[in-house]
Amino acid sequence: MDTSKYKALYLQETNEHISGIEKGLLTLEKDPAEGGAIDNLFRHYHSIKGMSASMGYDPLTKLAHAQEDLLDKVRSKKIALSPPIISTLLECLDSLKELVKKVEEDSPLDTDINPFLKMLASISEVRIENAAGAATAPRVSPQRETAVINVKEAFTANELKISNVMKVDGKVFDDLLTTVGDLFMVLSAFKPMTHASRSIEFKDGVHMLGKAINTIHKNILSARMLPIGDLTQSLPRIVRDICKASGKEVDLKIEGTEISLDRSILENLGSPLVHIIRNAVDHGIEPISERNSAGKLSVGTIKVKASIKRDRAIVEISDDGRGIDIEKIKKKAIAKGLSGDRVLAMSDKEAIKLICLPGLSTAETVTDTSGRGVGMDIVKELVEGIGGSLEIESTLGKGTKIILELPRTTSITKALVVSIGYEQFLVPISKIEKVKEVKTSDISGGVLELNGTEIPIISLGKTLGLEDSFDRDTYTILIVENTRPALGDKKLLGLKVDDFGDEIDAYIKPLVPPMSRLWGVSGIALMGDGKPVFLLDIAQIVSKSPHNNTLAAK
Amino acid sequence: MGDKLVIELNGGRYALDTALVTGIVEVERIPFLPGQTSFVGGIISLRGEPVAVITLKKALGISESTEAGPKKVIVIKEKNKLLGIDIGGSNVSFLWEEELKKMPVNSEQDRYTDGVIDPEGKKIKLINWAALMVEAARILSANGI
Repeated sequence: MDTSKYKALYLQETNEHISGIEKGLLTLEKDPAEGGAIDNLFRHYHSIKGMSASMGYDPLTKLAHAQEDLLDKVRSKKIALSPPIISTLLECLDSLKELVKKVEEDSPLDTDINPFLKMLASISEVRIENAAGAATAPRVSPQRETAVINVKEAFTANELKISNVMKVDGKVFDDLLTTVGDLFMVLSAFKPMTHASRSIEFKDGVHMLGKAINTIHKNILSARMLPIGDLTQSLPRIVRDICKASGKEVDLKIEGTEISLDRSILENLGSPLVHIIRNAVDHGIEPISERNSAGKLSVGTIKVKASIKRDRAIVEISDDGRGIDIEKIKKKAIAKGLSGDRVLAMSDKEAIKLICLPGLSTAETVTDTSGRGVGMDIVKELVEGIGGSLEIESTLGKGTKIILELPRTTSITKALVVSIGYEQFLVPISKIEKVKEVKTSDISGGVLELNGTEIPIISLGKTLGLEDSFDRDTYTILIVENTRPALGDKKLLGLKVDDFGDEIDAYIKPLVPPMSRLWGVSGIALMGDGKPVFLLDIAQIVSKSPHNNTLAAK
Repeated sequence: MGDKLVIELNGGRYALDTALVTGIVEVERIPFLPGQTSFVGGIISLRGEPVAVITLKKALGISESTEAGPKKVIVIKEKNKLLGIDIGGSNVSFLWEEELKKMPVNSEQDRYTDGVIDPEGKKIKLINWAALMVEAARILSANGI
């Protein structure tokens, strides 16, 4: 197992425990009767021992273990606490510090700990009857004295050094990111001025400012990134517990744990992920007898696979269970009051998404963990709340795949400014395949022919509910994927706008009530002049455009 | 009862708690807000925060059209929720708590008003801002246009 990625965390926590031990030993030295101090010390040593063992740092494990043993004897009153014991523990602590420093420097852990182990073993043998008060430290061999002196020398120059690893409240990074967002918007106000200015100094200054802001932004984002494995490491236990309760057997496979996402996105992904997995175990994977009759292996499989597509992360959760009965969903939707005509006209791809409506679930049984008809609507809402989207694929009898497409970072998005009449909008660059200026006459019957491909054109303004702008001789067409990138659907669609402007790094604020569920929008940015401009959710706009059903059917 | 901000609209008078008012902004034009229907009128920003705007005349059924020209937008804030109320070019004045103490409050209600005070025979309807906020959120969360 590659433990190197946990080294920083190990160092941070071990150093905290070492400080706790030092403080505790000094307290005990002044007041041996201090209640609770020994228990605290015991916990610190125990933690160091456990973490060092997990990381494979044997000398640290052994030394912490020996000190823990000595303390255990003191705690159980097999030996009495005495000044020589405190001194010995402090000397051994120095040795622990030296070893931790070597871990930090990636040096071999070659400190000879044997003299310390012998010293701890020897002092452990001092019985209670002769240790109380008048007890003296056991004789120390010259070898041990040398080891202690070497450790002391090693630490004399470093006693006041602090760790390179800092523990910082996540909010500090949130605030820093907000400030960088403001700086980006200030920069976006300066940039157009440089086009008009003849001052080389001014142009250079704005260029340098842009570079500096980009560097700060990159560093902050990098500090906020965490591997998806941090989230998925608890899944095996969750699956085990649900299986235990349901009598099912499931093999959980996790791939792509090294893919990293912004901390806030990862935080918000936990609850939907667990809910999807619970649904898969409870309602997707069949009981063993049912699987055997269907010719399937007794042990079901759930696979969580993370990957990267452009600047987005794709998390797929698939199972080889019974799949979703689309006809049953349609019937249930109609029974819940949805228009029968509308439901029956839906394609399978559309109908399967009905399970994301509140109160719609095909689960026949309610378990402790899922199947109460609440869940997938909340899952969808949570995923969309972090700027993601959710797709479902299912084959009856074969299994279900839920695909989450998520942004990898928050807040700053590269976007193109487009205008429709007097209004401006932002379109994420990641969603644009091409930008083309065309004459009105190039669009015939709502279709633009480009390099032999027919691309349907929709008016972005009309789709958003804007009244028609003035007729123009030329338009700008944003060619985008026809949504559902995770499904591999490559068809293209053109969004007609009046004009386009600069590409900017927009600091996107989340939508708050009463705008928190605004259709077709994924966030909002304030431009340099303070004007609010919406970042459009192209996937949502395209999926609900009147052309999309026609396209999907093609 | 607290101090009131009084808005004159087409001869009628309407009041809002001043404690709710976090700012009044004058704008030439209110940018479009996707999905804006009914009385939702667009979006502005106040101190770096985006604010959804409703048109008071439309909400109260006084007028269906939107006035051209500069407009005043009263921004109210409750907890973390912000709402802009476009009052067009209407005038505003204040009614202080001391004056209000002498006036009886009639509990007459309308969809977006929840009481009437009657100083010197001039009826002032108290705006039910919470109902306006809820309805604005409902309109804006309609799934699709």
